[in-house]
Amino acid sequence: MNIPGLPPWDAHHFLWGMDSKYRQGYVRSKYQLASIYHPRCICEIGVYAGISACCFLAASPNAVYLGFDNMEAERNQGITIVDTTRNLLQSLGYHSTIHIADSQSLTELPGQFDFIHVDGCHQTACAQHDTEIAWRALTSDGVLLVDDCHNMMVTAGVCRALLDAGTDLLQWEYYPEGVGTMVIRKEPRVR
Amino acid sequence: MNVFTYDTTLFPGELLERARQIRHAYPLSAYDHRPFLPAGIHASYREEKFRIGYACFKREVAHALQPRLILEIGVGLGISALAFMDGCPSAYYLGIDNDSEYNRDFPIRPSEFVSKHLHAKNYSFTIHQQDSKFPLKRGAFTADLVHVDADHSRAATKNDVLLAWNALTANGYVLIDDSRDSSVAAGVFDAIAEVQPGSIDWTYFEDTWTGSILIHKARMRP
Repeated sequence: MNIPGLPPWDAHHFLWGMDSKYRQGYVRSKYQLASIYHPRCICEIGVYAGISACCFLAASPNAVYLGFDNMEAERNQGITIVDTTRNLLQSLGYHSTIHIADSQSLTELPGQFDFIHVDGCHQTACAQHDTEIAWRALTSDGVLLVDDCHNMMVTAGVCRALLDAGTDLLQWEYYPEGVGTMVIRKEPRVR
Repeated sequence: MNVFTYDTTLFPGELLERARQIRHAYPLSAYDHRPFLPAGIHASYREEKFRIGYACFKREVAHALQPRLILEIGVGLGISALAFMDGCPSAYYLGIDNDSEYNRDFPIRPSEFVSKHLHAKNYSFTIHQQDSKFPLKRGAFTADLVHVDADHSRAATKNDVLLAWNALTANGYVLIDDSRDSSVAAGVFDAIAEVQPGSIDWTYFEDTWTGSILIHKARMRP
């Protein structure tokens, strides 16, 4: 599974900067989900190295992509990575924009999206906030992906946000590969 | 909605293996709960979709996990109790129900009606007519499988899942019904984030009657 802009599938994990088992689950699940939903308008909270952005756009190359990253991870590690990701996505010809902003300071996402990936701060309150603004920006036929749901702090935040969204017929799934992805459809299930 | 099959070989934990067995078995199961249903209940309980998505699913959970002691919070019509015991006849079943649905949703008193059927099958069991908001005596017993299928409010679900967690063995499982309900899902993860705030092995069976979460108490990966 070679994705444009990413190292070869069987490259050493040093090249990926990610443990092989997590990376395989992460890349495969993100690519497959985007292949199934064929999004037209993608938003991502937490871009970092752009692995998921590359997967989403490889699966749906004509989509418009908007990413948010507060650069906290790269500041903590003393590296430059979001700028590199921005240049990479543009060099691949994708319709992509990356804003440097902390999603916790946003009260809403700018526009409506049919595919939103939340992969930001893991604290419960942060995950809740990110899910709330994502849910409001999701089109009625849209799908929300939340990463790191193997972590109960994240999952608790997601479920609290959806409680306030007021749906008692959630259409959701959980893919435990890698660090776990929750997939939630905006459209409620027919009773 | 099940859009793709994930790779269970990357993190080959016990939960994923059991979940794989359950997903494979329940749609093919011949188990039928309908002979044990009382008259005068909603027609949906007799539907084929309910048989597979609820009764057969519960049966195959018990069959895959082979628990020694099953605790159920919310016995109801006993559909899951009888299905669990059909899947694992050697288990001891302990049910808790406050009988609050008698004369409201059900024409029978759950604790009496289900006891009669379990007794007729010669299963080992006890059913307490008790409200789960009153704590069980901690350490009085440990269960390998706890089924939470009771009050759907967020606070009550959190209470029941905490009760379940404290009653579980170190390698036990908690199964939560009605998880398509956002109040139930919020209560479940409120509880688990409180007792185990980091990583945990869990899965979700979306294609069951009302959606079921299965959580493994043992931490299989960091």
